[in-house]
Amino acid sequence: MNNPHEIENLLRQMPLVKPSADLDARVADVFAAGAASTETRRANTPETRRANTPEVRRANIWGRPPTRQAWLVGAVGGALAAAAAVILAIGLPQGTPTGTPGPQPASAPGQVANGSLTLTGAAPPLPVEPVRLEQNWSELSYEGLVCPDPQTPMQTFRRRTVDHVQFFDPQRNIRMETIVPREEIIFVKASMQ
Amino acid sequence: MSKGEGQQEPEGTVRDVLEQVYRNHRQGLFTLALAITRCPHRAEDAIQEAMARLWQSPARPGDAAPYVFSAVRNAAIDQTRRAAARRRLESASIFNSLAPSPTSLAAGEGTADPQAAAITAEQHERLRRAVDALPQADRETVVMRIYGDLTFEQMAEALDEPLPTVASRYRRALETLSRRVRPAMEASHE
Repeated sequence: MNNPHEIENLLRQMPLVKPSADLDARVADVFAAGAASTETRRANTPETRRANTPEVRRANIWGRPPTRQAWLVGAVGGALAAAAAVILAIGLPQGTPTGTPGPQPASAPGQVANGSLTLTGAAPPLPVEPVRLEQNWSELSYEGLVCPDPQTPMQTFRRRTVDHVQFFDPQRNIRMETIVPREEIIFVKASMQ
Repeated sequence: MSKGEGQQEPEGTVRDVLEQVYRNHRQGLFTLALAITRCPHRAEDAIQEAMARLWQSPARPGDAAPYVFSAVRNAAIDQTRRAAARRRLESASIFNSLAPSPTSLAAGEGTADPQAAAITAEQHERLRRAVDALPQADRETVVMRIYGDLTFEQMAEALDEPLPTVASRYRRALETLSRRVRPAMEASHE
């Protein structure tokens, strides 16, 4: 029984499960249902032209977007997100003419002057107040009992604080930031009972 | 089989091509879908789904048969995944259990040689079990080749795999089947 043709012949003699007659009707329905709409849908539209590329054609068959295109969109999106994050982290570019007050060129309302849109005729811009932001962080931890003098035991605490102050004056375009870490050890006389 | 081996489908509209491929390979497509889904109803659903998907896609130049087999195979795999998610997997065979029963064979119904008929029934039963026990990829290869009448080139295209891989898988599957059916075959030769 080493002859492959023998097993092939035997396989061909096997009684197969037949599809039901209903299958033909279902397939015919598919063709009939799509016949009317598809011909108009297949007009020479940009989508159709795009759909003729091999990748999209394959994607249509498999019912999923083309992998290479999906990766490209993901990569571009990631790059844009990273760029936006860097810009936000650094802050706006310093000394841009749009942020500095000064004599505005005469222009009609809504005209574009020097690359920026000036809304003349509207209310004057509100004065921008300097911003001061202060954040404090503190932590207190108990570090045990010490006895520098046998008669006066002391409880030891360590306190760490960080004072973070940010100052921003958009009119003068000044930005200041101070971070002051502090650490102190506090001794508290233990009560003797 | 209703179609000549390796024969290419004619060029035409999507509908013409699909209809022709369906007509020529109806049994092969169904058997392939059944070999994957193991359920006749899901196999028919898969064929209908594949035809609907293909109908939506633009016309494709070249041989359509591998493309249709590939679409049916993918739809059948989707059906199986959905059934697995609903825990409704079945294990129907691609073969009918219409082989004569041992009692009818013993009574000599419908055959001149009850012993030969019994051996044939034994062969069929062994082969049915052997095909059902094949790994799915091997079973698909056998079904495409034997019941779909596809060439190895068409099978490679449908499965999106290199031709030598498909050919060696087919050969390996036949060897496995031969090993499992051998005792009955040898008995029939004696």
